[in-house]
Amino acid sequence: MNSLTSVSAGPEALLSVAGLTTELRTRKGTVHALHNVGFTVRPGEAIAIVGESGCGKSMTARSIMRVLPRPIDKVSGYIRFGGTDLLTLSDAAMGRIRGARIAMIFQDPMSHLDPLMRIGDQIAEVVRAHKKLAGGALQQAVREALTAAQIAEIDRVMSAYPHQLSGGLRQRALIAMALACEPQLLIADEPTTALDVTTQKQILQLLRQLVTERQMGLVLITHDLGVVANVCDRVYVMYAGQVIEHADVHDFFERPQHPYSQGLLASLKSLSEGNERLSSIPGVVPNLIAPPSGCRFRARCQHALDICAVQDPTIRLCHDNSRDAACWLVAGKGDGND
Amino acid sequence: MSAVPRIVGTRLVQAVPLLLATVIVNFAIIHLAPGDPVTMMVGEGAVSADQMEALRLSLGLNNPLYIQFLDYLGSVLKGDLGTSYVYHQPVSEIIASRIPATLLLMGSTYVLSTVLGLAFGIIAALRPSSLQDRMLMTVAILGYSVPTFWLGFIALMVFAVELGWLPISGMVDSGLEPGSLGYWTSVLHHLVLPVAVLSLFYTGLIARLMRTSMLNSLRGDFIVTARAMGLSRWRIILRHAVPNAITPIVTVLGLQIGLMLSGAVLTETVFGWPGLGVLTVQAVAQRDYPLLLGMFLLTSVMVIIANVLTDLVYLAINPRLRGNG
Amino acid sequence: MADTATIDPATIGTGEEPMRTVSHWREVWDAFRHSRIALVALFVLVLLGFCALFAPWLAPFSPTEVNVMDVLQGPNAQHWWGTDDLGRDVYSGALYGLRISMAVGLMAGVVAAILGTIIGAFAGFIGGWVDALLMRITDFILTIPVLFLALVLIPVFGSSRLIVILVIGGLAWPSIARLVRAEFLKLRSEAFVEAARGYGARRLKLIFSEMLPNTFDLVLVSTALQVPAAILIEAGLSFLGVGDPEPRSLGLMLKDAYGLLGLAWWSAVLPGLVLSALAISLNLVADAFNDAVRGHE
Repeated sequence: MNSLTSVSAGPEALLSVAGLTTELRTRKGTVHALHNVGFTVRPGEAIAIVGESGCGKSMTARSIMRVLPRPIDKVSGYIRFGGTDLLTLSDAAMGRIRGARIAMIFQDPMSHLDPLMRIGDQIAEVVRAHKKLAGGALQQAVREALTAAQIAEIDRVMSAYPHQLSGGLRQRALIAMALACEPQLLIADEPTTALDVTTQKQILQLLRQLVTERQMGLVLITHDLGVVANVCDRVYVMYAGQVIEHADVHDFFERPQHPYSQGLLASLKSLSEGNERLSSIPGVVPNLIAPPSGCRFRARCQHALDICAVQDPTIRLCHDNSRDAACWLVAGKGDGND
Repeated sequence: MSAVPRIVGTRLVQAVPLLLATVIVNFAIIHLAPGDPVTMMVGEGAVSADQMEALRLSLGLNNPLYIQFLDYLGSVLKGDLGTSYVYHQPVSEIIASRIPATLLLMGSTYVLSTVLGLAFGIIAALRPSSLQDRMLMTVAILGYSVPTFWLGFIALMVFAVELGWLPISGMVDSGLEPGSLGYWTSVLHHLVLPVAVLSLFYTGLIARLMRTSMLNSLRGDFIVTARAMGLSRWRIILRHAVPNAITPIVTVLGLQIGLMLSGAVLTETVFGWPGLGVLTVQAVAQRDYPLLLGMFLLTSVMVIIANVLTDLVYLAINPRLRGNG
Repeated sequence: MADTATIDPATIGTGEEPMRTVSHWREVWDAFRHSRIALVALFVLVLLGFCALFAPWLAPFSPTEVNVMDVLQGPNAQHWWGTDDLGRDVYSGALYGLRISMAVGLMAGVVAAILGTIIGAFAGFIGGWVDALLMRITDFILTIPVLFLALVLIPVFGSSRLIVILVIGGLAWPSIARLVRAEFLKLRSEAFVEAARGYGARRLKLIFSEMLPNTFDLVLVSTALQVPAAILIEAGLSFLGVGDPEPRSLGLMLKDAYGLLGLAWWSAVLPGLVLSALAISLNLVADAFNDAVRGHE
């Protein structure tokens, strides 16, 4: 496994993931949702993970947090955070990291908040799970979290149930819950997809600000390349459960290397609106119960070579901070000198 | 919070035509009955035709149906449900005297089966397809598949007749002073078998219902959030999964109060429990129209009260219904 | 919903599947087969069905034949399940009783399925106030204690088998109607129906050619869940003396046995076991079938 040995995250890496492989045990068979995924995040850095529906972006987030759909699902590989491999931690130790040192926010804040509990109580519950606070100190911590999420009407939001808030306020409440214990890393899974354009901008601004001010690491999962350009420093493109390209945000938009990335950007440019769905490359994502041999994009690729059917190009992808693409067409071009 | 009186008000207003309709329908249905109440009362050929006619006249049975109905409706409004053909006592008194027994049987059963059913449903849903899940659910299906009345008298044969541990019939031993400690001990003693048998049925039903709802709740996005925020497993289950599982089935749980009447009829018959069920079976057999009409009215009122109460409980536990204040 | 954290892992990259075809039933059967207990229940059910169907050939005696010489005999070589206080053979009675239980249960199920499908389809397709009214009625009937109401209705209409079936089936349709309505609402918004939507005759054709076939398996499943309940209600009514008028049914045998409390255990235990086995196996099969069709654990 090339990728395992080529981890050169550097001492400053906050999170480095390598060889992440996730199998979901469903009734129809084992879904190979992730295969050999790797990336790094440094403090004060925002990275983007982009791709189509079902490419494994969300599953990557849930694998890192170890919150998979069912207990029998299997994660392997290596997730280094704060000097330890998260996959080797006990459930109790992992519970102390979740919500405290790594937090996560989601696409649909309405369904991700408990409808039967007041916002203030939900945030307080998270604080209490990680800090020994009670009474006034606890209330103060909740207020600080709501302030950090730039919520103006703190009292109203605290005593409100999720259905009584607007979409934007709900997402801010969820962000407040995530920020309550001042995490070093925030994973945001499509945080603005369900919001209108204005609110979307405000939330993204808030996230970028938190990254800069708190030196927090941010993993932004999205299918929206417009969001990527505004907020992130680096980009990882995923396809069918694999990372197939990673690059600096400028390099990525200027010179995408993988035919899939090129297709994404081409479809983006062909549309006048920047926030359209990424669906204009012909063909469908392959079945992940029995993934195809060789390159997984091969069936949709116009430039496929003979080798593409035999050898999986992701095996030679290096997961350091330089740029690279898992494609036989660009072999040799991307070894860190671009 | 202004939604609360509005919903209660709406329900009560809706209840009025519903009750009236029930009275009309019941009266009409009962009067389609083939059996002649006077013949039932005195027995075939026991009295002369003249005496029969006098009796019919005194009971108002010769009046046109709508007169009989208006008479009945007027009396109902005054709280007078007529006089039983069989007992020669006011129907309201007979019914009132039987209510406590049925209430005791149904109330105990309801509390027991709700608590056990919810607990079993939760335990089963925590590990779907596990051994504990499959065992609990198989027992639950047995619970609501085995006929209550048959299980009842098998239990009677074993625990009362063969082993002699529990009484065979009735609600209390005779000769005890009502209200004394010995009286209530005897009532409890008599209550064990009927409640156990009837509870098995409803526990099974509620456990199945709760398991499904709990599985849905555990699949909810807010559970993913709670896990991602590092809350402990038991906190997630008790504070988030369980309340969100109970809320959608509160309505069905409430309706069980009214539906339980069916089970109570059979159980009372088997255990000779002197409640409304036994009274109804006798009234059916004897074509005791006034008593039957009274029972119907009572049942409708009960079903409607159960509906309103259920709405109120649902309102209390579900903040989404309380408006956007 | 687009790509979210709520992705159902079962659908990731498996592609779209065609709706409800022959392969759909194959899949349902494959899922059903997964449950060993459901297979056992199916076997028992088939066995009971066989016994009911061939009762006249399997029963050694007439179920109603009174024999004063053989009163209250325990199980023996001649009367395998013993006799009751009139000397009637319990085994033969149970076989014929099984016939009645199954016939009444199935017919009540058919009545409920027809009513439920018509009412649910009507509500779901028309929508508006018709829908609102029908659903209110549906909800109200769901709150009625069926056995209790039947207890009073059946003697009023006269105790014939048809009346018993109509009363039980006539009160069992609400859950089916709700399912059909929900499915119709869903199908109505789906593209293939939207595209074919029209007026008058074309509308009717749409219901019969597209929508009803698509709800067929759901109707079948929810009807299957009603049949054991109907059987238990009929037995309960017979036990109270107002069930099927046939002189020997499982409920009536249990009523007679109840009068003999402690004198002839076999006359109570054995017919009751047959009735329980029928209800249990029906419930287990219906349940596994339901899970298989809806595709969750």
